[in-house]
Amino acid sequence: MQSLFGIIDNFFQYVFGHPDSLIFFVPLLLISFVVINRFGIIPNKLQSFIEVIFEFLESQFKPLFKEEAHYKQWMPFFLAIFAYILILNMIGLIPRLEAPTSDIWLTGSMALMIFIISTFIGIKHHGPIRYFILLTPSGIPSAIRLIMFPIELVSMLAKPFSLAVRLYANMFAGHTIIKTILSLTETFPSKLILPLDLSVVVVLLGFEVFVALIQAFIFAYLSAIYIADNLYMGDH
Amino acid sequence: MMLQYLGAAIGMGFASLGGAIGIGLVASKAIESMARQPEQANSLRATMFIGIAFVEATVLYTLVIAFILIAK
Repeated sequence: MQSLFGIIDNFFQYVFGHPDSLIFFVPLLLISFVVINRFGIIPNKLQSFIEVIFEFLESQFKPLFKEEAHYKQWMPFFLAIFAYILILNMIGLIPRLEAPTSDIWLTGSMALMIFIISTFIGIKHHGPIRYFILLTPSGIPSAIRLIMFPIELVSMLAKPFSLAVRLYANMFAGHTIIKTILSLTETFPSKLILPLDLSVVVVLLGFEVFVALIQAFIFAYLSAIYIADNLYMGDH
Repeated sequence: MMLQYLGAAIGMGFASLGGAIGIGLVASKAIESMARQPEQANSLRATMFIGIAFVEATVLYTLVIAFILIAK
């Protein structure tokens, strides 16, 4: 118990000791309040842009859920994940700042959260014993099911790991490549490389915006797939 | 010994080879289907980018391993 209190204490000390990691969300919250207040039945420019993104997400997420009620229940969660990761990815595009998602601990804890939620949902809907039986496909001999069980268990545990490393590696790699290309100006003998270098970095930064969008979508989409998988186990 | 640099470089080379082949396959099939059914082009393009991101992720796993090797 001592260690648990220690962890909680460390967490609060970290959160209140590093206001710089939270300070981005204060202007974002204020801006979002202003933006939401202007929403109406007749969309303005910003609203129609946000609606394009939302309609794309809706078209992708809706087929995953077999019941309308489940979709209504879960969609805000995935939208929140998408927006959160998108903002954290975009912070890395501001010069002199690192994206918080280029830290394995942040992505890892988010993936762990998805893993715990999806397992909990599966156990809640099917019961603890039936949940582990349903991990292996039905309609094959029980001896093969016994052999397949550890393999399915490993694949279940590998999902959050790949979720975390995918996001982390994408953000980290983009940042490192930009840093490496910028460092050419110091190691190259002539200064003539400077315009070439800068133009390459500008192109790469544009590509990074794209990667930030895609990775935020993929994280939300995969977590939706895992949760929907555990929601509708056995009836596919 | 500086063998870890060699290992990181060779591994990264093979990984980017595989990634290039994978992305090429995904893009070529997507273009084929877009030419066959132009009305489906938008949804195909979205699916293509998701597929490319998945292929790219496997290359980036190797990049992480390469960085771990170099940092040792």
